Amino acid sequence: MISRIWRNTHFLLAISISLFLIIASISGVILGIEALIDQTKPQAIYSLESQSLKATMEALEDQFEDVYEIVVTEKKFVVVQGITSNGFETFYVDPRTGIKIKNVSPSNPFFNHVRSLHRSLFLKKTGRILVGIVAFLLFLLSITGVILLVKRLGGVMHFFLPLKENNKYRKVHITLGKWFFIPLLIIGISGAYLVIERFDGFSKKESNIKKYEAGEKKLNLNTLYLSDIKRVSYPFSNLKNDTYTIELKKRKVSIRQGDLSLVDEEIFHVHQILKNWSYYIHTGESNVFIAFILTLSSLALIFFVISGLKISSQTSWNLLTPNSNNNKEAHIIILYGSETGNSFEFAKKLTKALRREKHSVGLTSLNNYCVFPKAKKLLVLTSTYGDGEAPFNANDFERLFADLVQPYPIDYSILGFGSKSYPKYCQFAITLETLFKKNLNFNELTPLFKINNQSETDYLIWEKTIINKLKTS
Amino acid sequence: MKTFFSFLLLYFLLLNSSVEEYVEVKCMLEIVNYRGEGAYIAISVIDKSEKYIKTVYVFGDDKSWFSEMKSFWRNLRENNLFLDKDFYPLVDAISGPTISGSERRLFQFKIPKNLFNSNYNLRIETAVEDKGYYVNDININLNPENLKKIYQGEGFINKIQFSAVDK
Repeated sequence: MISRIWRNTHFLLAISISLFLIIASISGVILGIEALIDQTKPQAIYSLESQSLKATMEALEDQFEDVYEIVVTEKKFVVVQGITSNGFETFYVDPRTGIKIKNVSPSNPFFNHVRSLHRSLFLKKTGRILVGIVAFLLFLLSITGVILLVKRLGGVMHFFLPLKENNKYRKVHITLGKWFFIPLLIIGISGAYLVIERFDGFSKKESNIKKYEAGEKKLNLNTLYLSDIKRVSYPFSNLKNDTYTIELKKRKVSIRQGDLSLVDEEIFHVHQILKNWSYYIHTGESNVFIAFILTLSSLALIFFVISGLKISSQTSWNLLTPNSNNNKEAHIIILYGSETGNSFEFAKKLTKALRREKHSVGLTSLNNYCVFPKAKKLLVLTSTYGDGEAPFNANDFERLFADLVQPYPIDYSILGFGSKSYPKYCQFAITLETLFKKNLNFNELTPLFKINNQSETDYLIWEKTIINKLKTS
Repeated sequence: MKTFFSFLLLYFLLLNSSVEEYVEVKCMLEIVNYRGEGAYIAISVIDKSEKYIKTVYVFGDDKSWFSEMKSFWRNLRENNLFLDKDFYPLVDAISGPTISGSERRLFQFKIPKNLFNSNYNLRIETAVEDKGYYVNDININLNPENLKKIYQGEGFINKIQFSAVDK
């Protein structure tokens, strides 16, 4: 029952947000590429960790008549605003020399549109809420996905073993899941957090500002590095009491320009730091490696959705729809236990084949086992789930089988689907065989037959045997 | 020869009058402490009937949110400034991103000299998504004296300080 909950949750989550996920992942790929391109631009400065604020300010003094602001962006660009011989200017500088690298140009309108789509689907506030919900659901989707993945592989220990799977969509889905579940978890939760932050989702607290007496504490600009700085705003005039404000990653300080002593200091709340972290990890703007992982993950997400939809069109819709059948009238009942839909497909195939032979056939899942008033033959097709367990629509069968008594003695035959790469090959089919053998009302029609990796030829051999048996008996 | 010099003189007079003279204003803007999105800010010169003469500075680089600054937006639409070759480069290139709660900015804008002392006002309107819009966060008469003072705004502007550099 539990595995059914995970599977259905995973499926319903995916169906409800797949369209949004496609939009978010395609725009995500484009934005990831933008972040990568930005990191190769000449104004991206990689030595911010060793560049002190003091040295930067001195270098700028030579180039500017009057500096207004220094801004260090997430992309590791250093932007300076101030008065040069050309008047008021804003441009990218090399902080080591203070020399202009190039003008600040307006950001590319194409990328701006993509960003707007990614953040809010062009729907402003409504769109942002939607995107936030989708991000959170992506987080849940990754969790349910991991649970299913571990179950499918038969335990955490099997995680890194090579995968045996014939269906190509399922193979893609599982392989991508192995590789990308961690980035996708992080993308989901950081994206959701960025949206919550925007809407002031956390309780308001008084800001944590500490005031200092004049000369009480001084700031050493030599040990303050640009990698910790977000923005430096210069004093308004030459007055000794005018202040610099310096916004750092975790705090904001104002210092008097006369003696560089602290006026006040604001320590940021955890939510601000979390927001910065979410921005850092979700955009990859300041780290090529993260930007690369994000781009790949977005690409992977596109394939996730496509392969997922493909799989669900083969499986989940079928498995969610109940069987309407003439089980009350049928002489032959076909029971299936199917996790991913393959055994179900074979069961349908068998039903068709037998109906062609003019048999009256009923088809239902093992969990729908009940009293079949006219049944004389029972054909069971089942796979095995995880570590020798029952597929989700067969996990109640054992109890039902013990409780119910059929009116006629019944001949049975069991067909097990499995893969020899697992130690417990066709284990659930074997379990069923033991059950049937213990029950005196049931007689073996043909011995248990096992099929490796859904081999079509093996199946046809079995089908032929069954048809012949049914003719003679 | 005399006519040549008089032509030359005329030429220089014309040249000089065609060059617009500006007053450069250094400005420090401090935003009140609030949580949430950054503030959109537009600084414009308006006349007594609140008609927009010139917008000199804008904070906020996502144009889809300009409509939050309702009065500024109406002017943009009515006068078709979207396509204005002077206006949009200003917004695109000079303007910075929005300013968030308790942040401060130091910047400079230019006002044509002929707009001074002609009964025009300097209006600074501010808007924050979901938190409100102040059409006259700052609204002062545009004269050199007024541009040497410190003001407290009515809305998101905690403090604003000007100093005009007459050139």
